[in-house]
Amino acid sequence: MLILLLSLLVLLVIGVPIAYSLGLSAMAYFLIEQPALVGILPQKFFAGMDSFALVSLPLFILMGLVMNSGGITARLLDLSMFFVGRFKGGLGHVNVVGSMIFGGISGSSASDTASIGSVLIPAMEKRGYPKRFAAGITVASSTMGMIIPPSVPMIVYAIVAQESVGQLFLGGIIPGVMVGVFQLVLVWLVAKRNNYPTEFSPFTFRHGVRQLRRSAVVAMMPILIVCSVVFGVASPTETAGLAVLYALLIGLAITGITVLKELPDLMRQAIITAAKIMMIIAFSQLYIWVLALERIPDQLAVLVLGLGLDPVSLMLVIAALILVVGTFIDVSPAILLLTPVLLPAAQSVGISGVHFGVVMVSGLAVGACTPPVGNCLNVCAAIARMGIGRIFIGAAPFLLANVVVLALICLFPALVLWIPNAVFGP
Amino acid sequence: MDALQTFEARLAKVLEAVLVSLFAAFLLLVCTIVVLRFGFNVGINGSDELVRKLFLLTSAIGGAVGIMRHEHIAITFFIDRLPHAIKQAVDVLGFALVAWVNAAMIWYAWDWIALTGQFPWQPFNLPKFIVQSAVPIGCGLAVLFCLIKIVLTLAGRENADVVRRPRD
Repeated sequence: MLILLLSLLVLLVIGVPIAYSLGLSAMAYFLIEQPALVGILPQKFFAGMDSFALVSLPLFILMGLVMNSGGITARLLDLSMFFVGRFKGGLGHVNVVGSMIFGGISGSSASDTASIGSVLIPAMEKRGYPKRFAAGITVASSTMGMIIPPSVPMIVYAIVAQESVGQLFLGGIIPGVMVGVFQLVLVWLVAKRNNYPTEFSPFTFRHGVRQLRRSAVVAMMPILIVCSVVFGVASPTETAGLAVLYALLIGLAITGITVLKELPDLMRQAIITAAKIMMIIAFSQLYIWVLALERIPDQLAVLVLGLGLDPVSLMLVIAALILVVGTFIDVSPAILLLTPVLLPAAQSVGISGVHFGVVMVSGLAVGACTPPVGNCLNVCAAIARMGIGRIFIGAAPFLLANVVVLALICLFPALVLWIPNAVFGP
Repeated sequence: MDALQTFEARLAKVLEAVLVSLFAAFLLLVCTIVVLRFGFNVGINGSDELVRKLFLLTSAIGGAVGIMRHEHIAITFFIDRLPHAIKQAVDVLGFALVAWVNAAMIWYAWDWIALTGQFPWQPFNLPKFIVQSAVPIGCGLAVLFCLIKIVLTLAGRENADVVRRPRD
């Protein structure tokens, strides 16, 4: 076991891709400890990728990319402007509300940062907001992309933990909305103290209807996806396929033929992004097999039971661990590394797999915005042309909202489980 | 070296075209399955299996292209702080290790395919090695790209700075 952990650590530190670090350390373990089993590794690798549910990954990623290139960002921001633009620090509020809606469409925080940041950071700078504030709120609000359904990390978790994608999607709604509301309050407090400007946006019935008519087909997307998955209209993969078609139709209606011209490149981006995750999933099967052979999850579960921790305390400890791990490891690999080890221990004290999954994704979302490996920070750094340190300082006050929500969902599991239980039954 | 760089770029372009074609195929298949089921209450026998295997092959090739494009998720925080020469050496070591694990997968996959590859792949009744070969194909391409990267890095033609971002 020591061979596995030490080699994995060394390989990660020297910058070997996470997927291959997992494969190399597992291979080293089998060659030294279990040479008789080493011949089965290709079979495990193959089986790790052979799942119909996993096909939804590139489809959801493509859907987000098509929506993004289809000119929807401007429409969503106009809709957000109608609702919150007139408040103090209007563009900050627009940033948060836009991320709430866009996160539900793209399912990815990085694409949320890229699309909203490229429009709003320059606009906020022009209106006199400090660049650090503009970049910080963009990064912090993008965390909702992972929590509000549909969410790519939740699909990855559902596959590893054998949980229902529909229940996880529903479980993410309240925490995601809470993060947004808390961030709106923080923006308002900061804007009031610094006297940030308001935006002119007529709050009239006529203007509201006009904005809703322009954006309804786009804003309906997450609702349609969640309903389709939750009510079993189609499987997550089939839903993702239909969502791609829907996104293409919207793109055609808004930008005309342009979206079709860009489609091959968007497909290339989507499939390579999915392949990176798939390689981690495939090689993590070898690592998970080592854990099972060494009975690590069982031993950890026994240890946790021996400590006599109640579910809330254990969940808080796990959340703290997730925050630390998320600082150093990207979201999907962290899910694949932590879930097989921690979930059996959590389930041994009665924690639900859906609750655990939403806590994990919410915690790792914070990690996507913290140095040194925060994915959203890197995307924002490229857009805002700022160092990740300054962006993080700008984002830190708003990330507090995420940490508070993380603590609340650990303390009150009903915040996660209420909607799934109401729909699927306890 | 120019020829090697051109070969690498051309191979990546061809593989990306293959990836996009395979992706388009399984996207169309997924949409057709849903439309047929809801519109005509008809299913296609083995369609789910075919989609899964097309995606598996796509992922295996995409993983190799990811190596060529330096797109795999890695923690570069520590090596980014190393002097250029050491970083280059660590990079070469990293590619060598990735090549080794992929070569080992091919080696062990050989026995696996030899043992079970003749069994029928249901429901198509074709030999299983057709789908099992996704492992040696993907891993073989990964080894090839790693070897090219090693040669190019040692020749100073490959930039070891994977992540370039503005400084504070």
